[in-house]
Amino acid sequence: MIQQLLLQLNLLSTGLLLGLMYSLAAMSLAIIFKTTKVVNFSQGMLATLGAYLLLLYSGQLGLHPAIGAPLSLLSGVALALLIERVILRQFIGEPILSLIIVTLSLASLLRGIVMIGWGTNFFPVPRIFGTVALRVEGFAIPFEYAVGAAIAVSYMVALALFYRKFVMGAALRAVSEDHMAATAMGISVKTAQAFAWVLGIVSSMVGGMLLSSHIGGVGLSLEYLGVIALPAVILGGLDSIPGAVVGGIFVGLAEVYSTYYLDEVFGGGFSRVFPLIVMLLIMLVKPYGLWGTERIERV
Amino acid sequence: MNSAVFSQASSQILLLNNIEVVYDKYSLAVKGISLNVEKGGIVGLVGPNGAGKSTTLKSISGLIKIERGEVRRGTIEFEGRRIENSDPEKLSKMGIVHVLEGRKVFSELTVEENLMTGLYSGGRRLPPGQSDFDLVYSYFPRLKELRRLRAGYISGGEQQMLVIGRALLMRPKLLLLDEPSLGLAPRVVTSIFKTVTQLRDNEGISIILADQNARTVMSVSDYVYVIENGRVAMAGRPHELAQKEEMKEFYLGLSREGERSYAVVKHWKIRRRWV
Amino acid sequence: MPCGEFKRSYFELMGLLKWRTHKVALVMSLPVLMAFPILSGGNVYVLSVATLILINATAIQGLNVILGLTGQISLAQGAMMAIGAYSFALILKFSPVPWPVAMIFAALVTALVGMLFGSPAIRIKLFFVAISTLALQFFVEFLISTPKYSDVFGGSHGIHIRGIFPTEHHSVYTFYLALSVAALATLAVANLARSSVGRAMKAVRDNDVAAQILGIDVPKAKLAAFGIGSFFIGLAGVVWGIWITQINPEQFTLDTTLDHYAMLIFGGLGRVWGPWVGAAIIVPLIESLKLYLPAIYPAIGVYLAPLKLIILSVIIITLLAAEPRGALELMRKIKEYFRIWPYGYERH
Repeated sequence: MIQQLLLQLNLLSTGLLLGLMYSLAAMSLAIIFKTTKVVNFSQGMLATLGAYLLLLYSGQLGLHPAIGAPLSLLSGVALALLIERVILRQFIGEPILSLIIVTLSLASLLRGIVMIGWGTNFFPVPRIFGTVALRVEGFAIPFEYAVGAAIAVSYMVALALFYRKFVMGAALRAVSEDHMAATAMGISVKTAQAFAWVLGIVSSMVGGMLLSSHIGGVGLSLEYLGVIALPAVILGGLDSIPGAVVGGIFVGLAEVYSTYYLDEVFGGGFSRVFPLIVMLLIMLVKPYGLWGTERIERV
Repeated sequence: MNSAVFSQASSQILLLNNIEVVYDKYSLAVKGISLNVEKGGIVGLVGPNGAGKSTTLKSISGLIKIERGEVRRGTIEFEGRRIENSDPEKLSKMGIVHVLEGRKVFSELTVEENLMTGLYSGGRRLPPGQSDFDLVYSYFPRLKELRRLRAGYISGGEQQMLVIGRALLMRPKLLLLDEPSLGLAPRVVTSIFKTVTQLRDNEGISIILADQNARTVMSVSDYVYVIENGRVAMAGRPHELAQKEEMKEFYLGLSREGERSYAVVKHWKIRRRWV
Repeated sequence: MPCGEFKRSYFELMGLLKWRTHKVALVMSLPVLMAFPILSGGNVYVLSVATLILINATAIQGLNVILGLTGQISLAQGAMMAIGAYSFALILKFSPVPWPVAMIFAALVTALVGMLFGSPAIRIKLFFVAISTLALQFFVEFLISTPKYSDVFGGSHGIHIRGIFPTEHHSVYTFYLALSVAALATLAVANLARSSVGRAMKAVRDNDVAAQILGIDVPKAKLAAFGIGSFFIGLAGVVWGIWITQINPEQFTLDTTLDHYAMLIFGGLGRVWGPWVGAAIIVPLIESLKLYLPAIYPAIGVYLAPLKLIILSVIIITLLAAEPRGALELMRKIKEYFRIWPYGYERH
């Protein structure tokens, strides 16, 4: 009985914390969608790139993680600015179709670059926080999970405050609603979109770094973060930050529980597909998610 | 037109010299408009739908750029500097603030968040305090009561107050108001126009007021331009214009000989355009 | 419109081969295509590249219906080809039907799955279809590669498709099969584009809300697009399976989608000949890179795959930024520029 309870507690906490880590990636999608109305299909690869940057600085150049992590974040910002300026800015106001294809191609482009730079090998990285875990009788939480969760939660709170209380946040939301009126308020649509892209790209990079540290290595397989974030935002409704967090938690729980209960039944790896199946069902029942804004479309 | 008659070069804030505006490289929307705005004055633009009032305002605020339009000929001077075809963001920083037609509130944002967007162009990014909005609330106390509501849910008159209030926070030197009376009840229109005159008197803001409601525009303006078909058809001080037969007939709904037949009106109109 | 040719009725204007140049091109290219195995001089490599072009052209023709004609999106090119190939192999394995029948059935299965996963398009917008088809891609990859189902799908080893053509003439036979399937698909899409269904699809592409107001059954048009498009993609998968004989999960990844998008965008969206042009230029480009680069620079071997990714994605991004209607449109513009040079309209 106690055994069973502990197992449930372990599954619940692991799912919850893993989900909070996923919610970073989901929030990245929501940030970008909120202002630019684009679902960023290159998100998984950008997260992976973040992990590779961390690998470069703290694994290969041998810097201490405390220096390597901020450095890789800085290079991430620079990279995000570059991507926005060179590629994404060309497509402001282009049809959604073009942007879907462009973000997908961007993912392939980055994958190609990563493969040339690092090959397809899996690089083990030292865990940022070692193997420390918070232990209570028969119940352990890996430290990465706790840190990841803490970062995700504080990030969510910061974003919510940012969008509600800051002038810049209000400006970003204004741009998403009406380009003309926003410009009349002196808000540059280009600057706002660039800001959203960079903020989104950097947050997915942080997600990638945390996830790689949790897995214990960096490889192209990290790209699944981009796939797993899709059900999370669809559930939460694409443009809602709290929705993305709830969606991320849901995906984390779904993954942990289906790994434990369903993988045997349906074959290993089913836990990665299960959230996608749930997502498809949600899309048919509640297309705008649980918290998404339903917009009226006009001709 | 002979607007130079009334203006002193030193006191004018805006000068449009025979501008021509095209959209998409070929579609001519404004065919040659010259106008003059005195510092601390209200200039009214009246004219029918599609006459070019909105386009004129957008060419002053630079917003035509977003609609792929450009000033192809003529000059616009703001405080002695040439500003035609500048970026709208830059112009709003310089103090030209455009209140768009149709009350473009950000409907998902609350009233207060809408006001916050007005602080952006001043360089503010951080959370504002309540005192930042005092200026707006002193002119529109109603907005203070509504400040937590989503802007999409407040009434048309309140939305109009909101967009003007929002613009006020941008510290305008020249305020461009496009159709502020559109779709509003007469009582609301009166109060909004009263506020507009207060803004001029208390804040020293120069204002261009474009509206179809000619009678009200003429009651508050210092100088009025009648725009028809992309050109200035008439101009003058309101009391002078009010004496003109055409003005009375077409914009004020008065006529000496009673009703004329539509054919005669039409004829007059075609003739009038080429003067 | 070419000089000196006039159409006197609507039916002439809507003809399949409208202009003289079309007829001339067809008459000149058909013998070349038909005799290609002889012209290639028995070179199996050249023939296999040609077959690859034809298979890709078929699959892209299917994508063209979904993306080019109807403006919907499908990111499951690899998955759909896998569905075609795997269901073909399984039908042959478990039932005694002749292979052409199995081929049709396999394509129908693909069409059904395509309609199922394209159905989010009915209610909501583009992103959701993109996401649902992406989910299909991962779902199919999971299904065919998981060891759990390896007794059906063969796991990572895949399935062998039993000899349909005699081994000594395999490449020639598959070439003719691929040619006829590609020609059929092209003819079908050309006719579809001229029909009322095709016009409904184009209306949906240009503005689905307006199309609905005009009385067009938008859900039907979208579903039809996914059905017809997936049918051809499935057919391409079958031909691929017959050609390669050993199908496995590695052949049907998201990279296939990238390949097809690059080719379709290169050839031009919504044009019947777009898929042919795109495939005929990009497939040989990639193949010759694979062939010649290692010869010039032997150490490049490992970098071929990433290089291909980079080249294709750069092609897609540059083309979409410069001329979203494809290389054909770009060529037309250049031709038009020189045709009227130097008396073109003044550019302001």
